[in-house]
Amino acid sequence: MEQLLTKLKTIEPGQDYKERSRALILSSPQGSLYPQIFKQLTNTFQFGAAFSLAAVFIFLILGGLSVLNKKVLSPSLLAGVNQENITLELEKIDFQIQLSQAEYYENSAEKIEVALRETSDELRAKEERKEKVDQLLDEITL
Amino acid sequence: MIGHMGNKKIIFVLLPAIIALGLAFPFPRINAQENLKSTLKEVEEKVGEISDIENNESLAGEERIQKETEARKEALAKIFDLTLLEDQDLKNKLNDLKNLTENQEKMRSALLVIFTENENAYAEMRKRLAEAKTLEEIKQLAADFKIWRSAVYNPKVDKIISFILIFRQKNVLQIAKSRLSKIQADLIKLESAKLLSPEDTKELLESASENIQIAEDLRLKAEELVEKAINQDLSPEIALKNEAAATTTSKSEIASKKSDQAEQATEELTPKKLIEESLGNVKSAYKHFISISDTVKKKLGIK
Repeated sequence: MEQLLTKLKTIEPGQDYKERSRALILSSPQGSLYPQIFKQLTNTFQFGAAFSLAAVFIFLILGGLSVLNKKVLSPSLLAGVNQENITLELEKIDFQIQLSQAEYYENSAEKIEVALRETSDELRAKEERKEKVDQLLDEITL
Repeated sequence: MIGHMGNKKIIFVLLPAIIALGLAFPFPRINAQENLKSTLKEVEEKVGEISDIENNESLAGEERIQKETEARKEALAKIFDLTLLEDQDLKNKLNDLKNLTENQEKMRSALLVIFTENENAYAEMRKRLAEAKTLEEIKQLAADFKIWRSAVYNPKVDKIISFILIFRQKNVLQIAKSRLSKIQADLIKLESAKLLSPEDTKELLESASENIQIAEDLRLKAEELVEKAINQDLSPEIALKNEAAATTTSKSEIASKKSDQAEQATEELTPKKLIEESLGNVKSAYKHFISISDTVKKKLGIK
């Protein structure tokens, strides 16, 4: 059985037959799968599609681009002029905090000066000094 | 019973640990301002107590003197505490500044020396406060502390605040300049797409640029003034030499060519006022940015 199968494997067509069959296949006409009328319709559609595509490009070139641009140039692509971004940035630049910190020290300096004046009883001390000076002047002049 | 004892143990172990952790970490910087404000309020309350005692006619003699002495001593102690808090706050603010130039680093180092100098005064103050017993001693100590704050402490604080403001304003200007560049880039895109013409935003853009330039000039002038003041403190002779050199080639002279407004403004103004003016100009620039944004929205038909 094995010998038979090995023999069968080696079977080949004859050279003449090979050449004749090849010639027959290559010379046969290429037949269309679709009927002729359908083929005509397909050609028409192909032409129509090409024409439409051309029209679209013309439209885009002439003015449709601006319409498209308005959609394309969306806020995300124009982040620089986006008003929300600008406003948020203005808030983030902590203007008030910066100045309020400086104002604290200006206010605190004045308030602490007043507090120390009160604590040292400066006003009374000044008045007492003034009274003493006036008394001494009176003694000199009299 | 055992569970209850266990809970108590946990509390006794955890509580000190939590307290220790709280003391180990410094107060959050965000609350520093609130802490200063509340301590200032306490100072005012203590001073109010002095007035209450003075106006209390039911108090007389020794009792009045004793209460008045206590009230004045407490007020003075509170003022001293507030001064120390301010010191720490300013030191933190100075140390928090990042990305300084070499010159700014020198200025910061010179300003940080102030805190070391203050330590001598504080040591003296602590000693005298602890030892003060009579009303006259406390009044005299308060008077001396007032003179020291007025003559020594407040001018130093002014310099530090000015320096911090100038530095922060530099960051503000960087942000504003970056925004201006982004807007210019977007306007170029829109002009290329024929959605906008240069004339639509030219004036606004020029005004915004001018505002930012004026803001920068004012900031530069403020920095010069602070630098001059710091050099004056460090070495009066060097300060005089620098001033002489500065009259020939001055940054302010270059700035004044760019901006008459800045030059006029600098004559009577302190660094803080210059920075306020500078900030005002940045705000004006941002108003122009918003107007540019409105113009773009109208042109694109965006609501």
